[in-house]
Amino acid sequence: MIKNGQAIAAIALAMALPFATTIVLAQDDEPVVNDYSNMGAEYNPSDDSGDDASGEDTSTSSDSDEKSASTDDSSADNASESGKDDGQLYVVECADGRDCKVGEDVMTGYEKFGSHCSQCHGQNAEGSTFAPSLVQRLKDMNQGRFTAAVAGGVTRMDSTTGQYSVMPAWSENKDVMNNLQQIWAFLRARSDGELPAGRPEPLEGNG
Amino acid sequence: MKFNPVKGALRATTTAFAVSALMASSTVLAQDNGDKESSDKSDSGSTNLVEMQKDSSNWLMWSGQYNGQRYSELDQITAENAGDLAPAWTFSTGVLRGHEGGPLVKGDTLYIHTPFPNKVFAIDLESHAIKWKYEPTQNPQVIPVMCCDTVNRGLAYGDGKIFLQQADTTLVALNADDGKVQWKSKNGDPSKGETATNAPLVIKDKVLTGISGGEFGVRGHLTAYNIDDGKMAWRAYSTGPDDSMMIDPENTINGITQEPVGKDTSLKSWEGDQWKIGGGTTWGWMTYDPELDLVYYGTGNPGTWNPTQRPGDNKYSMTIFARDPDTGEAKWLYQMTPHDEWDYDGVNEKILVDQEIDGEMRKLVVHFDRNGFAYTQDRTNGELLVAEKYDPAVNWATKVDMKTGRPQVVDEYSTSGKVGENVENICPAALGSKDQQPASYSPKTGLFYVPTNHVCMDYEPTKVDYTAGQPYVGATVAMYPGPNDITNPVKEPMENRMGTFIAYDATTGKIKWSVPERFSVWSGALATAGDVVFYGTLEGYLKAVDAKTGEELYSFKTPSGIIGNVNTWKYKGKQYIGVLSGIGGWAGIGMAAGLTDPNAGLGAVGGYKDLKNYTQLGGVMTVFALPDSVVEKTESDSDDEVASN
Repeated sequence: MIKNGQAIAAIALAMALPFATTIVLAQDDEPVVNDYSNMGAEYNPSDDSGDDASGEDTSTSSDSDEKSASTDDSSADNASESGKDDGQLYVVECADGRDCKVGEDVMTGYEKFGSHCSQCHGQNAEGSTFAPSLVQRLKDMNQGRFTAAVAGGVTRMDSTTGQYSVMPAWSENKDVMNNLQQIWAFLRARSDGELPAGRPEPLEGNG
Repeated sequence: MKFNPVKGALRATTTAFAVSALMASSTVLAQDNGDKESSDKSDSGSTNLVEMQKDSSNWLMWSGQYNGQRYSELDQITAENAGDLAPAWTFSTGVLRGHEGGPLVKGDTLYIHTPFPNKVFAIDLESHAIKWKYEPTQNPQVIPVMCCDTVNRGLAYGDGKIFLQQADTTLVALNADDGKVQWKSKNGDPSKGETATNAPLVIKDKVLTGISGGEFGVRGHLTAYNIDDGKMAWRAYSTGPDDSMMIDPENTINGITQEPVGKDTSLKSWEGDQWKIGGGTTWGWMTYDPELDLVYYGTGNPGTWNPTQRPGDNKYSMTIFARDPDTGEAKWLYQMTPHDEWDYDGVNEKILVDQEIDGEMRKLVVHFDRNGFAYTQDRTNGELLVAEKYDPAVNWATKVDMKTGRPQVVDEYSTSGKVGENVENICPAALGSKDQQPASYSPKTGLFYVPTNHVCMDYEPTKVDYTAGQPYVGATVAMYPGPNDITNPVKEPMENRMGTFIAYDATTGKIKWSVPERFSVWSGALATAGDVVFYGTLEGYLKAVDAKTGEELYSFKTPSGIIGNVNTWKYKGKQYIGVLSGIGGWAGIGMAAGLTDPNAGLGAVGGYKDLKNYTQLGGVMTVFALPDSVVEKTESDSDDEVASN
C-alpha cells in the first residue's frame, strides 16, 4: 500500500517539472488541438471507484453519515498500517450522533481542512462538482497514500470524460504539511462515519 | 504618470519564481502574420462597435451592449406569448465543468465558449453546423489554482476578431471568420496563482481584461492590449504606489468626498509590503460609457480572508473604478467594503442607466454588491446617491453612512481580531447576496432584475502564511440557507430557500417583488422590450417571468443546472433565447454536497433537498424560440397595430 503511495508521489513530482516546460503556446496560425500524451497524466482505473459522490450515492446525502457509522475499526487498521502506533487516531464523543465534541487533533484538522481543502472538497469533505468526496474516498485509502497525494498532488485524466482532475501538491505549504496528521484524523473520523457534517466542538480542556 | 508597458512586463518577469522562469519568459507572444490589412483603423472594432451594439439582431458582448443592462429591444416574445416558447435547437460543448457566460451572435454565426480547456465553437445559425473550433493547449496544473471551478465567463468581439481569455491568463485573438490565431498575450503567471475567468471587453482599439486569484494572494490589475497585435498598452494595479495604479493623487476623485484622493492612499492603508499580495483581483464584468469615455469595473477581496492579518482599509480592494480606457487613468473610485472581513468582492457588474432621482435626470451607475447593498451612484463623478440592502437578511452592517460611504459594521458579525473564533450567522455568506451572475435592467419598467443568493455563514479566521501559487485563504467558512424572510414575494416561499429573483428600484432602494427560489440564482438575467425577463436556476430551469409582476410565464428543464447568462438575438425574422447549462462554479462547490442547517443540529439537512437530486454535470446550450404559427400571429397583430395607428 505504501509502495503505491510512493509511486503516486513519484509521478506527481515528475509533473512539477513539465509544468514549467510543457506550456506550449502555439505560434502558428492553425487552431491548436490538445495533445496531452506527454503530460504524465496518471490514469488508474481503481482510482475511479467511489471517486464521485454523486456517481455512487443514489440516496440522499445525509445517508452517507449514517450508513458507515459502525466501521470504526477500520480507522485503527489504517492507522497501524501506515505506521501510527499509539492506537487512537481520533477522539469523537457524540450524543445521539450529534452535538459532537472532538479531541485536539480532530479540531485542528477540521480547521486546517476548512482553510486549505474545503474550497474544492466542500466544507464537510463531501466533495463538489469538481473534486471527490473524501468521506467516500477515504473508505479505500490508507494514510501513506493520503500523505503522498497531499504532498505530491494528483493529476488524473478520466478516460470516460476525457477531462482532467488535478489536485495541487502541498509539499511546500507548512500549514498543511505540519498538520497532515490532524487533517487525516479529521477526515478519517468523517469517513468512518464517527463525525457528522458541520463544525464540531472541542472537548473540555482542549483549549 | 505614463506607464511604460515594457518595463511593466519586465517587472512581472523578474519577480517570477525560478520554477516559472520558462513560462514567464514567453510573456509576449504576439506574432506578426503579415495579414494586417483587415485591421485598418477606420474599420477597426473601435468606433464601429459603439454603433454595431445597437443592432439588437446581434449580441456582440457579454451584456449585449456596453451599458451592462442586458436588455434587448427585441419584442417578438411577449408576456402574452412567452408561454408558447419551445426549444429550437441544442448544442453539447463536451465539457462537464461549470458553464458561466453566454453565447455571442454576429450575423449568421454564434460563438460559444467552455470552461477549461476553454474551447471556442463558431456555429452556423442556418445549419447549426460547426464552422470552426479552437481548443488551446493549456497545462492542466492551472486547474487547482482556480479557486472555484474552472469557469470562463465568455468571449468578446471586435475588429473582426473573437477574444478569448484563457484560464492560464493567455489572451487570444481569433479571426472571427475562420478561428485562426491572430495573436496571443500572456497576462499573468499561473505558478503564482494568477489565472483568468473573466470575459474581455473591446473598447476602441484595445482589449481590456482582468486577472483572477484573490484566494492566492495575487495583486489584481486591469490591463489593456492593443487590438492589432496584442501588445500591452497599459496596466493599472488595484493596490500599491499611485503610479502603478494609474491614480493621479491630484485628479482622481474620491466618489464620497468629491475631492482628489491625495497621495499614496493605497500604501497608507496596508501594513508594510502587504499590498504586494493584496488581492483586489479583477475577475468581474466591465461596462463602458462611450459618451463619458469611461470604463467601469470593480476589484475583489484583499489578500487572505483573515482580516486580523492585514490591518487597515486595504485600498483599493473592494472598490469601484472609473477609468479612461485609452490611458488607464482613474477618473474616480469608491471603496464599498474597507478592510473586508467576509470576502465581499466588489467585482459585480456596474450597470449604466439614465434615471430620474428627485426630479432630476441623472447618469447613474448601479451595482449589486456582494456585501448585500445595492449602490446607486452618479457615474460622472462617483457621488453616492442610494445604498440599500437588496436582501432583508443582510445583517453584517446596519446601513451605509452616506457621509463617509462606510458600512456601519455590527460588532457581533465582525471577524476582525477574532482569530480562532467562530463568528456565527453572518448574512450574506462569502458568496455574497449576489456573485458574478449579472443582473438586467429594463428602461421600459425602470426596474433592475437581480439574481440573488440567500445564504448565510459561520466564519472562522485562521492564521495563514503566504506561499506563491498556494491558496492564501485563512478562514473556515460554513454556509447554510438564510432565514425565511422575503420582501413582496410573488408566491409562497419554500422553507430553507437559498435564492431569490428580485425586481429592484435603484432610485428608491426598494424591492418591488421577489420570486423565491430553492437554490441561489446563479444565472445572468435578460430583460426584453417584450416585457419578459429571463433567468436560469441551479436545478436547470430556464424561466421567463413577467417584467411587471414577476409572474412565471414559461419554464423548461434544461439538461443541467444553469449558471450561464441568458442572451437573445434575431435570425431570419425570429427572436431566439440562448443559455448554457452546466452546473458548477462556486455554486457547485457550495451546493453539490449539500448545505447543512445549523438550527436543525449537526449533520441534519433539515428541509433542504440536495442539488444533486435535481441535476448532474454537463455543458449544453439550449436555444428557444416561438413556433412559426405564433410568430406569424404576433407579426400580423403588430402590423394591425401599426395600420390602425
